[in-house]
Amino acid sequence: MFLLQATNSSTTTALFLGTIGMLVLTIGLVVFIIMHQRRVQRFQQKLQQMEIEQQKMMLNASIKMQEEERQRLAADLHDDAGPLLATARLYLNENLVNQDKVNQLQSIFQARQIIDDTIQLIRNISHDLMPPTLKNFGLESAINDLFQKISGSGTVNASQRFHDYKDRLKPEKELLVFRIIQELINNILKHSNSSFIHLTQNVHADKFYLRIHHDGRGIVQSDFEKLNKSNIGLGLKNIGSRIRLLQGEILFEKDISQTYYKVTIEVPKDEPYSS
Amino acid sequence: MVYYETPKDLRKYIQAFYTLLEYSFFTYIFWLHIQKKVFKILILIASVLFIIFQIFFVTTTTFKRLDSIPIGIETILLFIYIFYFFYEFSKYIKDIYIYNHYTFWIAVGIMIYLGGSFFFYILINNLTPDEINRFGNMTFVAEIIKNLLFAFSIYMYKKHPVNHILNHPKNFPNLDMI
Repeated sequence: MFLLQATNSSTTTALFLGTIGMLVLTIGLVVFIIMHQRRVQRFQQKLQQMEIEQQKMMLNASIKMQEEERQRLAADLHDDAGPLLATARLYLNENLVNQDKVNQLQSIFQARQIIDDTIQLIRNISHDLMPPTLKNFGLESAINDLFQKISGSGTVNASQRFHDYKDRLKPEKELLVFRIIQELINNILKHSNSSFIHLTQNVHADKFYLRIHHDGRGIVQSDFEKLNKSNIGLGLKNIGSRIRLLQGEILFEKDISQTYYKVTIEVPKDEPYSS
Repeated sequence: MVYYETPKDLRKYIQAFYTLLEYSFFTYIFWLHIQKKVFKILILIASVLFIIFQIFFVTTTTFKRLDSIPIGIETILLFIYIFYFFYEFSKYIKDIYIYNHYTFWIAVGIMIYLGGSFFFYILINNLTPDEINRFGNMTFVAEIIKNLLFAFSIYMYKKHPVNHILNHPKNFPNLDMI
């Protein structure tokens, strides 16, 4: 009887303590989860703050880039076009009417030659600002042009394939995407030491995708984010701000085979634009 | 009442069916919200094994009051699912507080209900009728809390209708070397 009572008493104690223990465990877990999430949220806020800072840095970088572009443009016009036109002016001075016909013809010929050079120079500057192929024929042709020039050098084999580009992006979007591609290709040529570059385009679920593969040295997403937050890597910051403008995403990664690096750009597709 | 009018041999089948139904219902809630495919497959495997075990247990074992062992296993499995759900939630959801999500309240309700009744159901076949009466009330309290939390989760569902699905890192479509 005593044994039975003792057994029963220990059972009820176990039951009581066990149940209390389970409830404490439950409450403890709930409290832990809530506290942990709050901590994560605080961390998240801090990250957001940092992101705002980073956006400011990107804005500064893009302003700086714009200023540099303007300076370059001003220098091109001042140092190249200016002297050429001044020289042409010299050939066409008022004394020209007093000279003999042969000299007159020679001066006119020289002036014309200089004006032709100036026209070519201004055309080059204008092409740098807005590639005519991009404006007239779209992103596919512009990238094709760019890749042909790269392949023409003989050191890097650049190829591209557009799978579905019936509906062109809006011109301003095309220009932004083209600038990103230019910057990425520039970086690949400058830093990666790769032997080939391959670009693929496709469309999937209202999103426009471009992916660049290369077999040289590259960066992964964490490197991109690190460089974006640091004071170096102006080009990457510009890529970041352009991606933001496009409301798109960019992903730097290494292929599963660990042989290639790839960069994927995702841009939301807008309503069809006909060229 | 119907339960008490049922012949004693059949009662165990009703209890076993109830355990299965309860397990399936609770598991389905977490199945809907857990996103990781591997864990979903694990839940499926565990559930199939649990059903097989329950059928085997009911057909081969006679028990005095309740199917304690399957209830114990059910509790452990559901706790694992809830732990994983919390883990996944805190890993992927960073923009809303967990207690603003209705499933959180369902999970807490289930944990209190299972935690409050776990030892009682495990030991029920060894308890005296007097002890069952005494401790049975404890499980009722847990059950009432569970029902209140379930009701609150419905309120939260109405209040925050957008945040029902867990967001996950996106996958880009395959564009490789084509």
